[in-house]
Amino acid sequence: MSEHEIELVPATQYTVRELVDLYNQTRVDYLVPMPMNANRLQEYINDFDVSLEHSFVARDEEHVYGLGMLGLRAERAWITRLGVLPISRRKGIGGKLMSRMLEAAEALGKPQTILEVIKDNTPAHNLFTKLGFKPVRNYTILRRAPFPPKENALGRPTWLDHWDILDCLAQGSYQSWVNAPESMANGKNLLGFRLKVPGLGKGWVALRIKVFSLTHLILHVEEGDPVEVGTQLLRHLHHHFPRQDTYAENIEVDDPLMAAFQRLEYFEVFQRIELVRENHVPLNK
Amino acid sequence: MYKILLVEDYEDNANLIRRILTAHDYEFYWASDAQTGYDMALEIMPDFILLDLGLPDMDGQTLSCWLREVPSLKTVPIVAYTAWQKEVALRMVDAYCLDDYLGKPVEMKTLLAKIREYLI
Repeated sequence: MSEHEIELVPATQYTVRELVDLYNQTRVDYLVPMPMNANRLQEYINDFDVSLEHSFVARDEEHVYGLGMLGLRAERAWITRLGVLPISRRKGIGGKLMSRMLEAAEALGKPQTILEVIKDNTPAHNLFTKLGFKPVRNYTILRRAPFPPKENALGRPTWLDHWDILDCLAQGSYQSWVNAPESMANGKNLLGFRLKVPGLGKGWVALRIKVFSLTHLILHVEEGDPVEVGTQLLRHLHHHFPRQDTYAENIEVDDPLMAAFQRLEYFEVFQRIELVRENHVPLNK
Repeated sequence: MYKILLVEDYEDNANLIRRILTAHDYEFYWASDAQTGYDMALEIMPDFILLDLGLPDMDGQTLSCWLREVPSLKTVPIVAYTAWQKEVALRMVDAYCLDDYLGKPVEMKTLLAKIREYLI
């Protein structure tokens, strides 16, 4: 494969099925197993405002070698699902894809581009640092197997409708791209409830529910000790959904609620680092 | 003849395991995603399940919990087949009602030895 033959074409030239097949091949040896099928990738594109027009596939006349996807929102762009086939790495393809997406983000007037990289993915981290990205947050990804909590929960939750949940999310703290209010609004099956326990405090939970799992879990404590109120929120949640596997993604590692998650037997699966780049800074070519 | 169900989305891995297991007189079944794996398990009642944790439609560990809810599958050995690091894999085994795990890439003699631990 000659580097000069590689071209980058918009991902719109491929079907979602073709893109997911390529994506899965680029991640076959990845640090964290995260394959997708076409339905999941389509959902991903919809939920996270991925623009296939500004996402790119690296190819030559015979083969495809990698891809990268660009999410677009009002003030920011988000690079995601970057991957190059294992046998085609260390040939500059990842860098080309990144540069192309950063150019697109700047041309669209986005002041910042963000992305997340798995901790210990040194080659990717080095690439992003070379392109001017700087670390801003450390996230943990937590899992909890489906079983009811040992203890009962205090208080009685008040279930929220879709719009109440979006109001809560708009007033909550900073969230990563996948948990941002826009993502939650785009997604299906949004659930949430408020809880007020006299003498303890109050807070709310928002999440998405699927047949087998709870995802995009966001906890917010408005009054009271975060650990105590967070514990009650999670107890209510898991008493109500004892058979769902739970995936809490992109919780900041120093979040005061971490002890509440640990009490409910969540465990860490891996960590990510959020990186930010100011798009007005010229790319080194 | 013992029935072994592999739930694994990567066809090359499945074909390699198929060749090895059939050569050792196991009856081999393959499902390439979790939903198919669940349906197949209910249909064939395997003696052993080798379960990739990274599946395209849902995580293998989620499938494991649903399989354990089927009374006739409660005690079937389910061994995770995973690229997760050891510490995480062991947490998954403990939390998700799995019996054991094998790290990817697995040597075939290791796989055979693991199966023999559970199918005497």
